[in-house]
Amino acid sequence: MAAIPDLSGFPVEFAFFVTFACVYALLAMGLNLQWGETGLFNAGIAAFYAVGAYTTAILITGPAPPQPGVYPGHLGGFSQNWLLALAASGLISGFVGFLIAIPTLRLRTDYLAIATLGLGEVIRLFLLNDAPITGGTIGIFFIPKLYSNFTFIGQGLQQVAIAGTAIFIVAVAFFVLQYLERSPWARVLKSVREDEDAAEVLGKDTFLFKLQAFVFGCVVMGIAGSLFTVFLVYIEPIQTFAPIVTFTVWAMLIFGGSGNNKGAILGAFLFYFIDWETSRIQIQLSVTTGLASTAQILPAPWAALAAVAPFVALNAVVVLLLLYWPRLASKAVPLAKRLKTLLLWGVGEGIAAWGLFYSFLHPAFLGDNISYFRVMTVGLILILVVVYRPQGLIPEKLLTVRRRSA
Amino acid sequence: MAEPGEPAGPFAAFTGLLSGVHLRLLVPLLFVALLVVVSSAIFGYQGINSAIQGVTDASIIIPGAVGLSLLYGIRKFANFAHGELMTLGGYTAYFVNAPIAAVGFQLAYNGLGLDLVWGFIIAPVVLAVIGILLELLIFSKLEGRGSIAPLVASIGLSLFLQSLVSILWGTDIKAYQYVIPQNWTFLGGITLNPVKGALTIGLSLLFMGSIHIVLTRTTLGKAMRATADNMELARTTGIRTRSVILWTWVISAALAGVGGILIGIARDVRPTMGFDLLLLIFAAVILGGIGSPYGAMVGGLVIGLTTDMSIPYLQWMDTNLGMVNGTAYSPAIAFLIMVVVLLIRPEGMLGQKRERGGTGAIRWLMARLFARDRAAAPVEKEGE
Repeated sequence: MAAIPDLSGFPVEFAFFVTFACVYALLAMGLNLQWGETGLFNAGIAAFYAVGAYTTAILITGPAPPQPGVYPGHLGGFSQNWLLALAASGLISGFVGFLIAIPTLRLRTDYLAIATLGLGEVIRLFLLNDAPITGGTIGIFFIPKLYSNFTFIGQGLQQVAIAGTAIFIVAVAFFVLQYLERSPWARVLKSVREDEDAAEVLGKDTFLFKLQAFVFGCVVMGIAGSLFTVFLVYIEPIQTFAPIVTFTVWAMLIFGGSGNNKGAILGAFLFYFIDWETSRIQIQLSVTTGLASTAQILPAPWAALAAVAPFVALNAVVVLLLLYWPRLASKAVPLAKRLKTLLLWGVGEGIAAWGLFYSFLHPAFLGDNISYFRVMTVGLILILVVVYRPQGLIPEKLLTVRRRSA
Repeated sequence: MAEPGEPAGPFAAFTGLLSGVHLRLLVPLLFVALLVVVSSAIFGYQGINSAIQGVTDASIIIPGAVGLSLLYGIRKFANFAHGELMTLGGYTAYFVNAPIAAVGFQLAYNGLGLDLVWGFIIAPVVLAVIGILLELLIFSKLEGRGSIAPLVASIGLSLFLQSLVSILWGTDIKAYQYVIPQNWTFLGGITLNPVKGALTIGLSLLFMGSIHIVLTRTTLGKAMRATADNMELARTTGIRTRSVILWTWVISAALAGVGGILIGIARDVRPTMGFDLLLLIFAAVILGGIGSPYGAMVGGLVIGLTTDMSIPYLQWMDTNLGMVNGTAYSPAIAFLIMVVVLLIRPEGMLGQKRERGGTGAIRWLMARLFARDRAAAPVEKEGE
């Protein structure tokens, strides 16, 4: 067979980005069904995501016997097809969601948040500690990568193929969820979100509808976990499924606009772009600072500046255009207020510029802390969006009833 | 209970004491006492020592829980950034306490070089200022937008503050500069550290006593209780609710600050010290009834004790039932207690009915089974 030329460099990196963004888009769409449509505050997203990931990992790996002192082993040795594992991930994640929903879904929103966060933590404790099943703190290694048996294409093309699969899954999920959103079922969900008592008075069994929405959202999250597993080929419970994942998905959905799937996807891609960019900067900085400390070959500060520039530009665009644009452009807002807004934005960018200047002088500092800067950005955007643009980038289209003309 | 007309029986004084609030507090306290007695009977010194550890943990949970509950009572949202306020308190005390730099000041390792006692004075003041700033900059803008918008903003704030602390002080585990004394030993095997145990418990009791005095004896405390009860009515009667809200932030954040120092003393100082405790604090607050500071105190006691006292039982399950790493599940016991309380009594022990977080599953089931006209019968049939 003629060898197909392999891809490398930026296209492969971009495929990496697209795959992860798709995983987050699935998580955000699952959350959109629960929160955006039904108003159920799920703060245990990471747990359902993890359940999906571990189900797939256990089903598709070969045998992993325990090695005393080295690796505790994990349940496995099934070596199943990924498609089967994908279905199983969705089902088991949905089942766990069902078990958690039964006692908690009758609670008011903020109580539900606390209860799901607590029960999600219980699941994480199980993944961390029940080593014979989950591999404990070490996690699960040697998960067969999707398309790794397609040896007629190179690894770069395999990566691109995975990205294509991810896009396909997101597209299918999007169309299914869009279809559901226009159904009478979703109208009941929205009525539950707006006023549960009213829906109950109208004869709807609101608990049943909430249960369906919650479980179905968890199924979508489990599928996201499955996709993540066959892409990254290694899962561990401490970093990958930490509560920060839950909050990042929340930030994505609220930033994109809760109540519509397009917003969920847009938010996921924009936010994951920040994540991806920061990790690229981190790699670049570790290279430059390494050189600067050993041989002083490169002027490290300039490299740091070049690495940070797109990140700051993105920050500027996001904050100015998306948060302040309506106010700045609107003629209805008095000039003084517009100037004040501009001034506030200027102060924010000034702080960012100071950070840039500081990292220019101390690239190692930025290299060490860039992941925290990323989390800080997530937190800050979450606060700003909630205060200034609660409807998100793409606001939800409200249901309208067309009056029949007489 | 005796009817008003009936003559009081011989136990009237006793039943009077046991009615209402006292009776509701009695159940969890009896549960805790029973747990301590049974555990010490089964596990001997290990049971008693884990009970002491439980009281220590309760004493670091309670300041945070009371602050969170007070804030919920007034502002009606669950503050997810409360753990980070505790972390900031712990690190403020670390800054006060860390040695002065001989050459080249580094924030992560140097500070004012004062005694840790100064931490208890400076940290609450710093945290009170931070609390006021948070209310003015963020949460006052979200007033009137329900309980979820401020909750989401507080999640963002939590991420922001936790990573800010990680950037400023680094992620390594730190400890305060003081001499840790030898453990006291009683009766052959009961151990208690004078600082990590006794002092922490004593300080926590002191703070709780002062909160009690503020809430019941001062005008501010009365205004706070009135505002928590009904903000509109409080405003109508001339209470300045804006300043009551600010004062609540001051008290809540200052309590979080001293709670953070207690965590730093009893455990260690690290960027996740507050967030790690946040779920236990929530469990305590829900158990006691959200919005009720006294409920949070009892809830904190129950949660702290059950978390630590479950350890000997889990160890026993490890050795005899083949459980793996059972002791790691001790926080899970607290969360399960929280879920059970939410099922049976969603308003918590001292919470008010209208503050409850939904219908308890059991009540709902009862209503479904026995009151068929309520939910089971479709509405439209009545009109036919």
